Amino acid sequence: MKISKEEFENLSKLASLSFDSSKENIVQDLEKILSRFESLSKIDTANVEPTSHVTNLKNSMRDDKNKKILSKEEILQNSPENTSGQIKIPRVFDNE
Amino acid sequence: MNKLLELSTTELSNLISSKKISCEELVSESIQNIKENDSKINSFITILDKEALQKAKDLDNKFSRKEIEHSFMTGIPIMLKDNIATKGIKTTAGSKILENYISPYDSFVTKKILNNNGVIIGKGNLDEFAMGSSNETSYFGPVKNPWDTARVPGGSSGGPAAAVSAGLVACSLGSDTGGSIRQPASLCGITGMKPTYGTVSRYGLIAFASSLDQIGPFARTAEDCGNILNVISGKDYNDSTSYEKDFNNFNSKINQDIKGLKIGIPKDYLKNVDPEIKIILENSIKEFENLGAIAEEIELPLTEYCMDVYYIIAPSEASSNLSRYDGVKYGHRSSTDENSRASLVDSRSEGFGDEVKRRIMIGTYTLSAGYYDAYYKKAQQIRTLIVEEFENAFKKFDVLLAPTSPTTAFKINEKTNDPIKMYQSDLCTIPVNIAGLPAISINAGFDKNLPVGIQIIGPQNGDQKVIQFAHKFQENSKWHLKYPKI
Repeated sequence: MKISKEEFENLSKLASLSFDSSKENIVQDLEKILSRFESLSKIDTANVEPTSHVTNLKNSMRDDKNKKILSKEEILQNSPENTSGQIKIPRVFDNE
Repeated sequence: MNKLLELSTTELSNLISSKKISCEELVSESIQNIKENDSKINSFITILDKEALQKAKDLDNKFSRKEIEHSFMTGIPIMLKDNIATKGIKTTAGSKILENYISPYDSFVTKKILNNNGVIIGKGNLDEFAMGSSNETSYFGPVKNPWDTARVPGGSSGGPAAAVSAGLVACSLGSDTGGSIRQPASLCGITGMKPTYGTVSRYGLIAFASSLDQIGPFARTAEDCGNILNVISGKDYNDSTSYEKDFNNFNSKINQDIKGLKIGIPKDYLKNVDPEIKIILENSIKEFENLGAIAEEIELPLTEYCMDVYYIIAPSEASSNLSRYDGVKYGHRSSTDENSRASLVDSRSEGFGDEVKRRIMIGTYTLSAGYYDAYYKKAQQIRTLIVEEFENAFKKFDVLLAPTSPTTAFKINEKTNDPIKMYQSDLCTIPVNIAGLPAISINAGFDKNLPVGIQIIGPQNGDQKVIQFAHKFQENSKWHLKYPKI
């Protein structure tokens, strides 16, 4: 099992992670771990339903009502940067 | 060290109920033991000594004025794993990315503990986001095993296990996704239980792999675990996978004997297990046979695939759950400010440790277009077969008995460079999470002065039976009464 450079770049992009010095280690680890999974193809799963939930619980419903859970202040208290009751982030667009 | 905290939580609760000791006395002892010994094992991330002592004094006052009724948790010093949300208190998940996160709300279990007048004495160290089997991936440093501080306590709930083992608290709550309660309970010589999936609400438990995560107790005895589950279980509308059971007392079977009940011994669990641990398992089987149970071998051939199924499902769910950490709403934000995309990537890359990144990458791969069917869907199909294999086993057997961990506590740094070797620490515990089963780990002996746990596994909603078997074992043995000297 080999992960190409392009594949690794794409994967990092999807995961929103960057790897600098540790890149070679992580590629090797991933290759080793993903290679293990090949053994699963030995098991015949034709016509087997994938598990969606282990306890066979049926729909769990609650009343469709508004509930006050947290105040705006409580929600904002953990944001790294906020101003006038809003979360502030670096700019989204590169060009004006 | 003082000796009250060598007693079981049930005994301590009775002492408080009969006013032989005060809440203040017990909580003070806990605080003193923490001050004396936690620096040797690093089991706490946050210590709430002042708040806990004040709470204990208030409880004593209210209790003597009959303003509150006694309940099982009244005045009991308890630690919560630091991935369980506590309002106004740091909740870090052992990660740099949540280093300064103060939860604005309480988890379901936190509320239950507080409503029952339990005394939360601090937050327990853990592997980062509960990903690990040794507590070495914590941003706050490794926890050390009270039986030998050169060794790991197991993981990911290393702090909660070590703190109970060392007598710093009476009991604690951990979470178990692939063995994170049972394996550290085994390595630290105490009792730890993962209940049936859905027994305890996950509301306010920082999500790792939602279809596998379950909160459960650490304590001295199986009876303690049942009493704690009585407090923290139940339907919660904030977790649609939680449900009300058709029984309300986890301990209602503990006085029934196990004569004639059948124990299956899955030999497929023994392949990579150390010979010394097999001997202790054999001795335990004899012990159960002396109590009248009937033990027979059973084959569970899908066991060998469980680890790979788990290492597809758990990282897949983790990669999705951990996408919420973006440095925007909460958590670490990088100083990179050229644009929001760069800020997102750098915040995550600086905030997560290597093991968490590794798992996010595995999960991103197994869920990505073109690979989903071959990995994630395939794993969920095999999961269906594993669930069926267990269902068939429980048509014949009341419980299954296996080692909890293939080895005793290993040395710090022994396995950190080999992720697959580390993952194999959970070979015997992972199948239980895949099938949503209840299982308890109890101490059953020692190898070279290190504790060895055995695991009793029940069918879904067979939590009472699991506790019954463990209780009968503990009634007739002294292994759970051994304490480390630290």
